[in-house]
Amino acid sequence: MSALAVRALEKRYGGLTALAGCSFAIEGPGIYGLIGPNGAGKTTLFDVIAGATPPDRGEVTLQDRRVSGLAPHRLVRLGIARSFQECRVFPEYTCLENLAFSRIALGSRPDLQEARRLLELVGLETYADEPAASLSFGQRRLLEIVGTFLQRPRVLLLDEPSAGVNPALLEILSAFILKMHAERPGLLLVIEHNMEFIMGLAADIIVMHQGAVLERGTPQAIQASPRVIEAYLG
Amino acid sequence: MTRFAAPAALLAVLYFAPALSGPYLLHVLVLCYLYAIPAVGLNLMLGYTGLVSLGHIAFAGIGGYTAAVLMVDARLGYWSALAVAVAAAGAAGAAIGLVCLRFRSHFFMIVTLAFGLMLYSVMNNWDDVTRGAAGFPGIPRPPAFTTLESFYRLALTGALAAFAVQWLVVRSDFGRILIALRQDERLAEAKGVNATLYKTAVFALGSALAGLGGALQVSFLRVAAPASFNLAESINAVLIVIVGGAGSLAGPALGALLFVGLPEYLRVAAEWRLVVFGALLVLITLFAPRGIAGVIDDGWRRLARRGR
Repeated sequence: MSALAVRALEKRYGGLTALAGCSFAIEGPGIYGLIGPNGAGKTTLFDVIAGATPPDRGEVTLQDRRVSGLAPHRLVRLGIARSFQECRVFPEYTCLENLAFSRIALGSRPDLQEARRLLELVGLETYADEPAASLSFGQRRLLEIVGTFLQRPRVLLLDEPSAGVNPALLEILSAFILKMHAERPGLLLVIEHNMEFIMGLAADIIVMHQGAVLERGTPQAIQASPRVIEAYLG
Repeated sequence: MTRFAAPAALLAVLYFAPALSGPYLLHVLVLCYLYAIPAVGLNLMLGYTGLVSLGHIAFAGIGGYTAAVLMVDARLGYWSALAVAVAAAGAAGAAIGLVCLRFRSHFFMIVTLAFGLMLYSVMNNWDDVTRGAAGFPGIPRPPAFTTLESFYRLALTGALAAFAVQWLVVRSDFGRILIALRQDERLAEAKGVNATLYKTAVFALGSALAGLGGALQVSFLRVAAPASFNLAESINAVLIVIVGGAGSLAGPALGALLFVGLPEYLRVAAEWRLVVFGALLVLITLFAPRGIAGVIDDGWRRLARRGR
């Protein structure tokens, strides 16, 4: 049984093929990296897994149960959460309201104490009652990712968490992700371009190229793979 | 306690207005209340959820005509007819909303506009039921509210009920989800919100409030006329909400007061009202995107800061 698997996923946008037979299986909890050159289909893959867009062919299974084609809000209830490449927070809501919403949307009471604790972990406690729009981009990114953990997901998809985040905040982010994962191990799939950042988090890395999986292995094996090097340089 | 003192005083003044003022002012105030009720419904949709409907007042028409048919033709009691009228407008809102909500942003606006026009044409042409363009005469006022003074209190109570509903919604998790949908629908969905369900629910609720306003209006005027529920009236409702302050609790009241009160005060004809309101709309979008309610709020904050 695999915690998350995608089989022969295909997705086209007009003449553009975003996914062309993408398949892989992830057995259980852990932090997994998903890398690949621009246009490899990584974000499309996330959109398909999270239900934002249906695949043309193929399927996604969660604990061997077929979930592709379900609406995003149904998938959230099955334990899939995600962050967005472009970073999404509710701009008018305060940091605390943003975090509370992770529970309110599921019809449960928000745990404000837990929300404050996590805000403190990423150094945003002084902004708890400030609207998210007043934060810097990097701080908004931290807030977004804290919010995804408060959804208590079984599968968490992080889309380029390091993009646009300065090195100081990046260290906080990395430590936060590791701490949350240690407290409540789940399945984290992280899209990254920042090699140093992802090598510090994941022990198992999937490389995508032209809509399919090109290679999978440890960071060392990936870095040494001629096919990966060719895909990035070619 | 001081938080409630000002609203309580205002309420007392409004309830005792019949003893203090002449029939002309009372008449104008009743019209204000009758405009404010559907505006509250639209504020929940447009102001809080971000759904700009250009056919909102057509649902007031469904309420008005349902009440008329039930009261006059079916001889149903006034209050049961009113309740059914509100429910009918809400049900129509849910059904039509489900269709309109398949579209987004400006496409949504166009589809609501089309439904508004369709409903208007039904009211204007279905002679057997609605009595057509000539209007549906002989609609009663409720037994204890036949005079202007007593109907004034009924309209005020109706408006207060609408504002109470708005207040309860905005403070609830339901309201928080609506406000989240306006800010970022994709994110709200990624947090687990069934966007279609919530938007349909607010469309139904907003339409039910429009229906309440419409039913009270035809009962006040004693006649239901298609022209009360045409496209221009739907546009007026949007103007009232935006000028008053979309997404603020008091916005619909301020907008309705200005929309009905200003032309009366300035003694300008109804045709000039749209010109004045159009100009106001331009000024407000440029300088005060949160409407009159926002201007008052900012002014109050500045005063409070200076006082400290």
